[in-house]
Amino acid sequence: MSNAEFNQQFANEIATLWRAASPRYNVVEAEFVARLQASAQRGVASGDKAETTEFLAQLKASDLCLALACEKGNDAAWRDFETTHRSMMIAAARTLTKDQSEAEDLTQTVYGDLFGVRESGEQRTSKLTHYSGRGSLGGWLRAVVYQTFIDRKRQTSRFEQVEEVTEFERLANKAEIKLTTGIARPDEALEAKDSNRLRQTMEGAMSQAFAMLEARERLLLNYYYFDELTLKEIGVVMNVHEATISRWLSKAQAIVRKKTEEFLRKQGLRPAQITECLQLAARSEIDVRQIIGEAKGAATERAP
Amino acid sequence: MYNDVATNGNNLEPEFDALLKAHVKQHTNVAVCHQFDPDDATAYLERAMSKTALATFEEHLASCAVCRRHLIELSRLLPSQPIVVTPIGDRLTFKERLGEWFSGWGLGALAGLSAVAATVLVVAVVVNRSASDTAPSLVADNRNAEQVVPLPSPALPDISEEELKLKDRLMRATPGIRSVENQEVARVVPSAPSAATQEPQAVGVSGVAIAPPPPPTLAPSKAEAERKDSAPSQAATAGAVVVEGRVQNLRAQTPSGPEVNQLQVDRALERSKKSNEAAVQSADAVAREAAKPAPKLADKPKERIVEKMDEEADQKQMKARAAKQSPTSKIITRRVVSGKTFRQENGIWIDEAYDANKGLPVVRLTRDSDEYKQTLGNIPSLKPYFDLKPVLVVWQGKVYRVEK
Repeated sequence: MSNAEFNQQFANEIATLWRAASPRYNVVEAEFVARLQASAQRGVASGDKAETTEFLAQLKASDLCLALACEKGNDAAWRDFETTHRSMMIAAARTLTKDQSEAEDLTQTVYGDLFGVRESGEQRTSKLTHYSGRGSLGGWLRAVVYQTFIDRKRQTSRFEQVEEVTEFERLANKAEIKLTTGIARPDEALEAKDSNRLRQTMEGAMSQAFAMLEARERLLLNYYYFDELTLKEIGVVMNVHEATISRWLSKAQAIVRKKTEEFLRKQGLRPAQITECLQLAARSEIDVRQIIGEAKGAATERAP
Repeated sequence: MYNDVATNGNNLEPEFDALLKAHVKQHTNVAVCHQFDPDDATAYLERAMSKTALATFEEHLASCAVCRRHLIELSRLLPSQPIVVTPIGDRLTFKERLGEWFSGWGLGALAGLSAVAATVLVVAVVVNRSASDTAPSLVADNRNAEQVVPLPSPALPDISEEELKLKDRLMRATPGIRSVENQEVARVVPSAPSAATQEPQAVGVSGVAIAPPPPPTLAPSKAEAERKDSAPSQAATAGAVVVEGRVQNLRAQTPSGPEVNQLQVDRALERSKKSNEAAVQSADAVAREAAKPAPKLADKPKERIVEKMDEEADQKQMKARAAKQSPTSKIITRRVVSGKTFRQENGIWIDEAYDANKGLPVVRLTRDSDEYKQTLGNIPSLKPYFDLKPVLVVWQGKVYRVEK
């Protein structure tokens, strides 16, 4: 889509955003529109008109204008940027590094990226060009500080297996080993075969039930069970009140329960057998819980 | 709090909970992912994504533990918890909400609320009926602002001749009110915020003209007693009129009721008439309820409890109203220190025993001065009072005034 076409198609949205962009720091309308178009093309890959309209309606015009002006090297814009965002960036960096001098160093690195000291040819490439205007500029800067911190960490610990993968794999593998090796207690040895079969039946049913969940419900269960977040923490991540999270989670749990039982019934199990199946499968999970407990200690250390 | 709700609210057994947890742990993708994008992350955390983008992003997050971990860590950098509002699309429909209320813990909450509502209703009816037993003219508490309460016609027994004359004048001037009176006498209680603050005199007059006195059987509350005992200067302020909301005070402040400008009266009535018309219908229902024979109160403690509740409510109401008044009105706070009661006026704690008319010698002291220390050295018992600073305390025939 050409500039003119974009201008024509989304004239109302552009006009609204341009009016909302204040102060403008000598940014002219054509530059602003070009930036809007770039953001829209990146944000809405399909180019769908309705989706683009929705995308444009959510943009933070003033923040986008400030970012654009900073890209251009406008002094007034940089002064405002400094006043508004520097302390927040240092605070975020301090939380991550837990050291004031490291925090300032990290912030300085981010500033360098934002100003575009690394030159490609004759043109400065500022990291601010990646800011689409969807979220606030402050929030985006916080994320950039975090990303820079992670990149640094990767570089400095090249010989270590970084990321959470170590713990994730250990957790998953241990659980799997325990589950596949089955129940090892002598008093249950005779039942082990049947139990394993029942557990596998239950697993299969639960997997099918999971597949029927919506992405958000699966995500929610992952936040709750895998990441072990509290409802409040999930609320912060999803930007929803914890009461709503509680409601969503209860709903997701109930769906999994209902669907699992449905699948088990379809396999010819009677209600009493379903209950037995559930209890037997759960009994083997007690050991899994212990593994999770062990892994949790390691997981707390992995946080940057 | 919500953790319990989430896990136990739908009777999810611990066994199933453990299974679910194990299943999620087992089936999570832990492969390294380098798709973390600050722009997406910010938009997600700030709920600034389009629906399609959000669905795509959540789909990825549901299966990518690494990106989730980044998001979680990033969310922990947020300086404070933002005020979150559930998007319209995520809110429950009326039907869903209704269903939720009648299931699980919602039902419990509903039952609890019903119990509270029933208790409040019973207390209200008991108060009304006990009041109508002893004083038929009083139906409702005059604490309620802009309230019209229909009364049986033999009401207003304590209103003086002058007040009755004034009332007649008012009724003649406002046929609307008269028509209401023909059915059931209406009592207009002056409200604090509407007219009182702007034209206290007019409101006072209208209150005197058609408001009956409080029930004679109910002993004057503590707050009321304090108000009666308080300095005349306080009672004379227009602000205090509204704080009290009592007919006695209104009378005290409007001795020249009959001479009040007719225009002011008309204006006050005009204002109250508009709000009253809407309330007359609901007031009818209240009157019918009050007209029913009141059951006798079996136990005196219940009466006392009701009176106490009434007193407390009165005090709260008074404080709240006083706070809304003009800056000239005083908010009085009381405090008991070592057996002495102090009231705070204009920032100074004044001993209740202090009476300016007694002419006791006043010792003026400045905090931490030599004289102050010497006095405290001689009379250590004064220390708890002096700590109130600034304070005016009566002690052994002398008045000690300590300033900062």
